[in-house]
Amino acid sequence: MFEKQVSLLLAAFFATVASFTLQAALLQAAEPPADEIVIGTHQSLSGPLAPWGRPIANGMRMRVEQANAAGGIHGRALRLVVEDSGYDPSRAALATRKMVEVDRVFAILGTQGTPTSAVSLPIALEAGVPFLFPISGATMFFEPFDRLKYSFVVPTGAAVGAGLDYLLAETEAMTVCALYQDDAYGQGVLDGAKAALTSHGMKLAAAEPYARGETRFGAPIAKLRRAECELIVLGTIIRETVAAMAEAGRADWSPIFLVSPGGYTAEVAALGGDTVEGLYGVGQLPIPDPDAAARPVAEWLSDYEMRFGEAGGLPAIAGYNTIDLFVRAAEAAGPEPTVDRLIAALDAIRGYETIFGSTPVSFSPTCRLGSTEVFVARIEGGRWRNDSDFLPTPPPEGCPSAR
Amino acid sequence: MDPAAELAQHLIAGSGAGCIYGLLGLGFGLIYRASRVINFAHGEVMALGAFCALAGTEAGFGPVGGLALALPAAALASLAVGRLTAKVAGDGAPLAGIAVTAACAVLLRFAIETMPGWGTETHALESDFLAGTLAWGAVPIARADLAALAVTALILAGLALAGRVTRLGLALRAHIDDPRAAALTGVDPARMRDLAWLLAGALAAVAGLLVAPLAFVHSGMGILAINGFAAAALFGLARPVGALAGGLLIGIGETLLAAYMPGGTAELAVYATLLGALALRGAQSARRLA
Amino acid sequence: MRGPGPAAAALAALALAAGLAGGGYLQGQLLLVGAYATALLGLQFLVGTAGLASLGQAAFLAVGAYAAAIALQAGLAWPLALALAGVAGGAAGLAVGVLLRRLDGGPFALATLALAFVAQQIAAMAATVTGGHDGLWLTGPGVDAPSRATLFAAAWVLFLLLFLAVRNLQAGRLGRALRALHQEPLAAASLGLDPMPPRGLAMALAGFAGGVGGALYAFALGFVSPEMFGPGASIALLVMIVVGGAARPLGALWGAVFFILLREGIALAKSVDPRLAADAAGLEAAAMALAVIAVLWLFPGGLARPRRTFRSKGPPQ
Repeated sequence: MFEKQVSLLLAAFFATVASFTLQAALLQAAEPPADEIVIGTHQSLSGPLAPWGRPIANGMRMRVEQANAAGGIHGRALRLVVEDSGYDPSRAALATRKMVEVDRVFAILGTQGTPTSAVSLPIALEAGVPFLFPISGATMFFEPFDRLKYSFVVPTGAAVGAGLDYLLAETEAMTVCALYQDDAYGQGVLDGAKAALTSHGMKLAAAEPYARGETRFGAPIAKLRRAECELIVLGTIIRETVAAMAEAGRADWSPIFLVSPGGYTAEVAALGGDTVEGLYGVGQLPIPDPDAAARPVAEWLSDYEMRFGEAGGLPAIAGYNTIDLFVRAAEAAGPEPTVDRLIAALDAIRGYETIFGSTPVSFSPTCRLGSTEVFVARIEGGRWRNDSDFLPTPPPEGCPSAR
Repeated sequence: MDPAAELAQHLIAGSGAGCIYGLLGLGFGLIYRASRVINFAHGEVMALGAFCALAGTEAGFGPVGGLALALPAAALASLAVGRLTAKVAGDGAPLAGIAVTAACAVLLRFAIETMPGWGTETHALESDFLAGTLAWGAVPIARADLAALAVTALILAGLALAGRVTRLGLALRAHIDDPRAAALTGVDPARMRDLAWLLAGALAAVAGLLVAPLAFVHSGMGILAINGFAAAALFGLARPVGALAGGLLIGIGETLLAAYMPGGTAELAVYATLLGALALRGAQSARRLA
Repeated sequence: MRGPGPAAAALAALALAAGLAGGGYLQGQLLLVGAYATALLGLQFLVGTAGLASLGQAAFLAVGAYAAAIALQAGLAWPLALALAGVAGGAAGLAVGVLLRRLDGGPFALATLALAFVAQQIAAMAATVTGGHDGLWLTGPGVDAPSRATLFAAAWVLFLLLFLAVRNLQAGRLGRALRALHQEPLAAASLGLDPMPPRGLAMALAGFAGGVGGALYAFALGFVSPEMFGPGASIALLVMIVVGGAARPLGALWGAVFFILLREGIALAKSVDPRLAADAAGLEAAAMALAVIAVLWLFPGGLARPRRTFRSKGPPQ
């Protein structure tokens, strides 16, 4: 009779969950409480990008908690719904539907990853929910124009192009090559490098793709060496950046390496040690050096570590900044926030800067890419240090050019 | 670098990778032959072994000390997966076995990711013995690749010897050849299955340690085992030497394709070849039967 | 004793009615159940009747999803795109069936796993047709995408039709031939039973159901990309049918319901206790894995348990 009891238990479980689901479905007819502003995000809390997704979510939570401790936004508490996408587009789509239809979020913010944010975008737009500041270097999050779309991440290709321009002038390298991950991210890096070279009347001497998850780079590095590359643009992430440079070092070969924003992370410097010394990277937000940070940043870092029990870095700051910008706009939107008022407030933001030294953000009714500047940094003595001033990238249609 | 030296470099690096696939394939095939389970947790057992080796190395005992921790940990984890699969899925059922081992893989990964200090981050295995490069004339050779070749050769020789000389080895081989006949001569099938899972786990730990200097240690590294499955299947699941040959063929083929063919073709080629090889051999064995 | 049978069936009917009437989130979830269940029907036939454990079902979902997306973008009406997806999936299934006609057991499982890899790689590389890594959209101007309510109804009607078809085929000549080939291969060979026609048909059916299910899935998400159809997705589909019960077509429904409801349950737990959401790297996946093991432990053979027939009255085989 044990089996029968288990069957009953299981049926009861299904019934409970089904009834809750039904309840949730009924609840969606109700408006969210008037004393709250509900916003949503999805992050890779699990899966291959979890090392980024969790700190982004934590940074967002930290700013939300600060806003609520300061009395909320015109007296309304800010509530952040965090869903796990696992870096899987289908789960991201489901999470977005839940946030839009069950949680009835006011806006979706800072979703991480290109494929995962790509599936969320049309769902949000269809429901009339603002889709703000996804952590992705794709152009679809500000082009073509839609009143609900805002982004402040310079597209990967444009960022790489600006970095390459700078290095071509600094180093006088003539033979440029690329090593890139065989997916949408790597493709963006490759396209950016090609475009930048075309404007100099140059061409990529060699371009080598590798499969995601590849661990051995002897073959592609040998091919690039055969092409006598002087400067190699890396469309790599953490492990691949270090492994590719280690492979070149093994053959006693030391071309100049420039990694795209995906590889401009503290982890690369920590994991690579001496191997990655001299690596250039492109970024929009300086990686904080905990030993030499300015006072407000040092305080922020210690607050973050107190709250979450781990050191804060670039992803946490990026997440924090998305909410910071939203809070600023929501406060300007007045005590009765509507989507129209939020949009008007966002469009009025000019030259927004943070304590972290990130590139300034400005929006307008025609310009929804808030930042068009990047900088080049370099690993020296095991730490990333800024190597250039802010560099302009070509502004998209409707945006003013930087400087 | 002159072309001959470059070719030599690719051949050695490809063999190093191939040995690791071979070690994984060896364990995978052993489990399949002894208990008819397709073990999707094999990659995670390897990851567990690599993390234990990392912990041992970081504690100051060097890679050998790390291995002393990794071998029993991975072997026991593998045994646990095997026992659980036998308990839940029953004997001789590849279908439920796939589901249970896939679930075990998720649980093992979860355990690794929640372990303090391990997490989802990537770790470098610092070892002067395994990391670094040797120069053979103009050919740079990673120490880890040499270690992989040497260790694999030793393991293969040891296994071959044990399978012919020791009582346990003979029993295991008899069980794999024909479990019913072996049982009639007093070989306990349950014990033999346990032995296969233990041995496979230990082999996975070795693979994990050998792969770490070049590919780092992280919770997602189990994906490498997919190449181990391919290695085991390429020449049929029937023979241990086949797994090693399959691993070497995949490792070297992959490297040479990547070095001398347009990029992006290597991955597709490996799996298309595996598909073709399996279909072809299926046809052959059917003809033999007829 | 057939597992949580009639009561649960009544609940399912209730939920369906609610989905049709209620719309919104619930409808979206039940639409996904329908899409998965349809795709799983093909796998159930293959696994339950022919004894072939396929780890390549996601490849057929990919064929269907991409066929539907490409047809929609070419300006075809959605019912036509759906039909095309089924045909494309069926043709792909037949081709694979011919290629792998002599394999079974472990080699068949590994060969189909390789197939899932190859399909994913082709989807990523044939960028001019499939959009490569950027994927394809099934929404936007000039695209005849069905409304969610229409799609919901279509999914469940299709599931029901396929369910009846699979049940009849399983009990009929084709089912008997496949079972004979699986359970008594030597006897079947000595009778001169050619494995090719039945196995090829079984794979074609798996491909057809996979294609239709994949198209429904793509319609539901509005987007297809290679990431959605890798070996991981194939393994997940096989786990679903094992948990649901591979012996009967009802297992396809149970497998899909189990997974979607479990995911809802975990989301619910997270909303009740926010700490779970904060610190749970992979907790959701781990909970799923535990549930899979628990179900298989308590219900060997899956939730839709094998019917008691004259076969199983003797001692267990």
